[in-house]
Amino acid sequence: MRVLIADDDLVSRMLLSEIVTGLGHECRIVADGSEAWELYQEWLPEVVVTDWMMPGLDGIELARRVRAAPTGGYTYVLVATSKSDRDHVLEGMEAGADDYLIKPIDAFELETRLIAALRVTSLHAELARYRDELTRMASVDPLTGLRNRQSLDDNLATLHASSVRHGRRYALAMCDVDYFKAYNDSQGHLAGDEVLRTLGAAFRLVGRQSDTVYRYGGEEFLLLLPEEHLEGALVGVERFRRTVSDLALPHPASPTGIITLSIGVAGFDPQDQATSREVLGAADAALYRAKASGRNRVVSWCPITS
Amino acid sequence: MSEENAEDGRQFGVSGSPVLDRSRIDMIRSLDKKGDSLLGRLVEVFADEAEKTMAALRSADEQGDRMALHRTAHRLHGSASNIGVPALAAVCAELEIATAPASLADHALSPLVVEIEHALDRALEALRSETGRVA
Repeated sequence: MRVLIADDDLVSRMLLSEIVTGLGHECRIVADGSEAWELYQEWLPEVVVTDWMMPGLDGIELARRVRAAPTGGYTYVLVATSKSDRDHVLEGMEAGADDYLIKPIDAFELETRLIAALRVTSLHAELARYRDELTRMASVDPLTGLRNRQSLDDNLATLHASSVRHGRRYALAMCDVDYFKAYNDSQGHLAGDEVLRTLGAAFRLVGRQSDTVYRYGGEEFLLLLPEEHLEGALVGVERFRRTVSDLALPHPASPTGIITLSIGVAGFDPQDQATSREVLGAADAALYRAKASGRNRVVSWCPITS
Repeated sequence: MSEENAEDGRQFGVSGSPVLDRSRIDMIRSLDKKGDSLLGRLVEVFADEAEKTMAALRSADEQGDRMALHRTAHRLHGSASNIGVPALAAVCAELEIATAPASLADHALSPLVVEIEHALDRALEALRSETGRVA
């Protein structure tokens, strides 16, 4: 483990460092609380052993800051106090310390605390890994590896809010695989899944860093294009359509004989004061027109003017 | 300032605490690696620091700076406990308490500073005979 020790007594520092490194841990030692806090943020140790009374930042304030720091991992904090300081022990534990040590610190006492520290920090690290994995799983579609509908809802809400706040445009495109039901009926669902997987991989390759492709529903994909106006979006989206038709994946049940996409595009203009649902609805309406006018094409949404 | 205990040869300071804390010394010895005496290194550092601390105590006493006396006594108290010389730690604690912000004591502090100096001499003597024995 990485163990950070803060103590203003030189003898104590030498002794503690000897104990900690002797137990096979990595050890850094500082002489006051402010230094400890700076090194903590940079080094992110698993364990902090801090004296209670120190120049600068005291041990309690250090414990409080460590506990409030958004580092992701868990830091095990030990506060060292003298035998008579029961109130300080309580204050330290309430500020975020996990345990305390009575000064002068004994090698055996410290060793036992570090065993507990290793157990607790390992458990926290394991939980953090599970949590990250679950978070990833919750936002990714397992078949295509693209982000899923849940992730779209979150990201569209964020993009819309920030576009409104900063008066920026954005565009979105709704893509649908043409005659996909007929493909599944004739080739089987496993073959259908294979097509979706291939399209997912192609979308990831053709997209720009800032564009994000989502699997919106069964055979529907959605593209978010931040800071893009409608005309610019049409050019980018046309690339997606062409990429898919260039793949020339056989589709016996389609009049063209290959897998193609119909795409509806809509843009958000901050002057229109539209909601994100309305933008999605506009893209959906444009997609409907793309289907109705012959498929394998990109159609942009036009406001109905009377 | 200290008296010899005839039975086991252990020495005690005026506070009644032993000059040397045997279990503490043993603990430090147990951390020794081959060819390196941690205790020896600690004693050197401690002696060096204590000399500066003593000078700081004397000067704070001359100037009647109670805050500085309190801080310095606290620091020496910590080092003394860490290296295992309880009699010195005890007199430092006395000065620390007498100069605490809430303390009502207004008796002369100089005798305590002198006592610390004596206790320090005895502590260093005891520590050096320990490290001499190892070497």
